[in-house]
Amino acid sequence: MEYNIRGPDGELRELVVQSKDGIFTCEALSEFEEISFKKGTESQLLIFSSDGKCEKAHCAKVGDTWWIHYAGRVIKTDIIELGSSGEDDAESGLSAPMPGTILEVLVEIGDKVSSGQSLLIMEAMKMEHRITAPFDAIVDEIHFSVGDRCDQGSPLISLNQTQE
Amino acid sequence: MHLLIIIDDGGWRKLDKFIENFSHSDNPFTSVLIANRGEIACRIIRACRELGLSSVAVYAENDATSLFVEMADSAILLPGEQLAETYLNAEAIIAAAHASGAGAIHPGFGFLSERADFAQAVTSAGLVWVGPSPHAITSMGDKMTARIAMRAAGVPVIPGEEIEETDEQASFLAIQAASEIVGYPLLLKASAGGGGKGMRAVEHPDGLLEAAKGARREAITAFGDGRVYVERLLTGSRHIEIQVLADRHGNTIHLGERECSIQRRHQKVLEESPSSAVDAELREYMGKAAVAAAEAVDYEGAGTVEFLLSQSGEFFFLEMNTRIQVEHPITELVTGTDLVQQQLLIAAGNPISQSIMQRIPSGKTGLRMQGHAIEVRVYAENPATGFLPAIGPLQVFIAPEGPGVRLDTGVRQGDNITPNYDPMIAKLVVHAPDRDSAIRRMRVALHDFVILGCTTNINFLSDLLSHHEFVAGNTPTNFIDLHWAEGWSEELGEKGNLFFSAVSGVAESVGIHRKYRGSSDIGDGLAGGSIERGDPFNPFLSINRRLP
Repeated sequence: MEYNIRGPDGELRELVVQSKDGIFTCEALSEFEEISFKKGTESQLLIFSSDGKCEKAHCAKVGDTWWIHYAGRVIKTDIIELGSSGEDDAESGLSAPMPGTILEVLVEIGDKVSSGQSLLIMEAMKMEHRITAPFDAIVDEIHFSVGDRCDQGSPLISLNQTQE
Repeated sequence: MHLLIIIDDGGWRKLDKFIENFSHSDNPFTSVLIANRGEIACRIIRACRELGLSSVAVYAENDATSLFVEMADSAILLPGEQLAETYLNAEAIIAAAHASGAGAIHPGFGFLSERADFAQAVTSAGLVWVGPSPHAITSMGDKMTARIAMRAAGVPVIPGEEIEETDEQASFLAIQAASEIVGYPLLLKASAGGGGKGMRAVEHPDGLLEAAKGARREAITAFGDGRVYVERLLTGSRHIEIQVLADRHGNTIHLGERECSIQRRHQKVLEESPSSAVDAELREYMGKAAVAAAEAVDYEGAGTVEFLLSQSGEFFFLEMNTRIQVEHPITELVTGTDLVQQQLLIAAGNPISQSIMQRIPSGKTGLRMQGHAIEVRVYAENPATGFLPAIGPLQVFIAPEGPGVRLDTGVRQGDNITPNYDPMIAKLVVHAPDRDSAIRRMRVALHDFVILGCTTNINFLSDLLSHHEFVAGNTPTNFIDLHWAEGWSEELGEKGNLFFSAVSGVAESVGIHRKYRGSSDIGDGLAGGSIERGDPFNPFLSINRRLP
């Protein structure tokens, strides 16, 4: 099976997984060491190294995101369905990080803003969050006004990056 | 003990006798209503059960399937969508107590716990209030009045200026004037504040107005009181607090200190007891000051006196919290006490238990401490984005176990972390003979804690517990900003990134997501009932943000 996976570093990797008699291997890992996998109970995945040692990972999938617990760390990856390219990067600082309410809009359309400048303040989970400009830009559009509720991922402000 | 009705044999009778029977006719209550939710509600229910008291939960609609509702002997719905209609609705809560036959109300922390008018209303309604008198809450609850009272009682306070103006413009002018006297860096604090809300550190005069506006607004939202005062920001200091217990028979004692210096956004992340900066002599000094503070307001029950300990060893009164604290478990572990049970016993008119009083060394005001305890707060938040709160399903939730490991939580696998309430998922607490072994025990416990489906701060906490400055005990309140000045991020390296990507490919291929879907079926019960429609994988769709 072939998968496109966006790793924790944001890199998209094409990975091929083979299975034989319930033992799974991934080609890409062979350049480091010989590792094989086997399903465990419930959320467990058993990981065998070439010296015969067995470790466990816990895995769960929510939407297209895999949550992996291994060696005391929880790490997320995304499975990218082939053909559904161009997924918007929701990490952009200009979308609402949480569902919440707009408390204050600090800029107006047409304003010149510099990188790091506060654009608006929203309130979510009883805390205030400051949305700042990721680069020098001119404010193109403001999608919410004070008192509006916004959902997670809603674009809040559109910026036109100014060229230096 | 309703089970007696069904299983009426000798064994159960014995158990019933064994439980120190609280329900003697001379006790003022046999049933306690818990005016709170989540983890602390579960904690109080356990204490009630061990004392042979029955428990009554009150809950909002979106908590209908929460653990504390399930654990309580009975539960009453508080209708309404706003917090003001549910957990902050004093009238409805008192009515629920009457309706359920509860004789006492335990407020937990947050919500109505430090509202003197609520304490008064509870008492006036003929119910027992599990907490200090309304007078004590009022004196200590207003941070400015408390400063003035403590100065009068001879307890040292942080240099600063009280601001009496309530009008927005007038208060900004007063803050401006005060800032010139206090100097920079300074701290703006909500007078009605707590929990880091309505608090802003200001490094430079340029940021003052914006910070004052933010603090005022947050204070109005959180407490309905926008007054903000100015304090000098003592950098490099530690946050040390003293637990006190007082009864109405003239006993006021302290149970040693908790160090809570490790904070982010003025909210505590890790607490430990004892503090590596406090020796027996300083403990006795601070303990005496805390006891004096409690006695100055005729305190009753469990309370906490917070101090800042400067690098030079001077300590200053910060505030007194007139309720049980989030971090109370570490004190319970190092002193061998159950603070919530003591709260209930004291509220019923009993003196502090003999088993505790007997362990106070003669000539001292405080309990001897044994071993070392550490608590970490597991939050639903992303440490890589400046600790922004996170939400999501607890699709896998496997808690660590073992000797000296305690988990206080209000959730279980299959529950959903929503933006409706505080993002704290659990408190993980360890107890070991000394600080080094407690750190090792906590590292292992964090390593074994599996939470999948919602981003948590566990990876960050593991890094914190391994930081050499933390291990060395050098823990000023700005520890996180100091050592992660550019923010925290996960450092996996190319090999790690590839490995986790490959594991998810294998997991997909194995089909773990088809075989295993957590304790509840994701298709129709992801949020334990709180998601009604729409894409079952999107936990945000039907959630409405509700604030007081």
